[in-house]
Amino acid sequence: MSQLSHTKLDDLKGLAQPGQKVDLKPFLGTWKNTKPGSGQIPKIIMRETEGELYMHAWGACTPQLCDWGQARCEVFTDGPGSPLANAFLARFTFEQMDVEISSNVKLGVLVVQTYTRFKDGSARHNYYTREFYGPEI
Amino acid sequence: MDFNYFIGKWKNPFDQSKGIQSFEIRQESDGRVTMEVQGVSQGYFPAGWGQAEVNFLASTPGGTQASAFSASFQLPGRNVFLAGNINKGLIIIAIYALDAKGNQDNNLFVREFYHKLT
Repeated sequence: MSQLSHTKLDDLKGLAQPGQKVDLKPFLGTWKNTKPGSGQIPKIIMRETEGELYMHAWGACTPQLCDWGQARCEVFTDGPGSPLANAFLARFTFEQMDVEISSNVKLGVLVVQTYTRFKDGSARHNYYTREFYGPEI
Repeated sequence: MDFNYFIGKWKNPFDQSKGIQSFEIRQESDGRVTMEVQGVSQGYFPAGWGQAEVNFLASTPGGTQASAFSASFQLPGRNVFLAGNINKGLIIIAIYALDAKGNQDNNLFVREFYHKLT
């Protein structure tokens, strides 16, 4: 296969300036699931530490939320020359399952997709969800 | 029709919005449901929209759970129709702002999200 410098036209739209930092602000803060009684992730805290984005998630459990801990995020901007972060990927690994997160901010709302893969040999299908989060006020 | 979930204060989380900053839906003592809208300052619309009556809609004929609503406002120079629906706890509002004199060049469409304040 030939080595391509791009695979689509948008790959050529601008170049990042040397040392240009990606602005993580659109993600930072505490986010609350807008769906009452969600069985997924009721609460998320997004933090920046030394230029890296981290996602701390809590799963819906009773009697209290399950603390998933935090995962480092892989950040995406809205173009190869853009400093504005608009999406990220994160992965939480547990003994019985892995949860991959893909997320973006749309008009101030954090949109979170989860891809849950079971690895415990149970008869549970891998599954996908999509939920919305508003900033906690 | 059960519209309980809609009652309360809702806020737009988008800090660059040019539309509606926040609104409150409440049930009046006479049973009517009204909506009071606060526009974004220096946005496309005035800050204070005043109050209008809300009509709720279900997703199926005979359905008893409200999943959407509509409301109409007369603003200076524009007649505004709001069409809102719930999606996973979020209210999505489509704003149809029609020029009061029928000039289609001044018509405006905006769609935004709102989360509930507890």
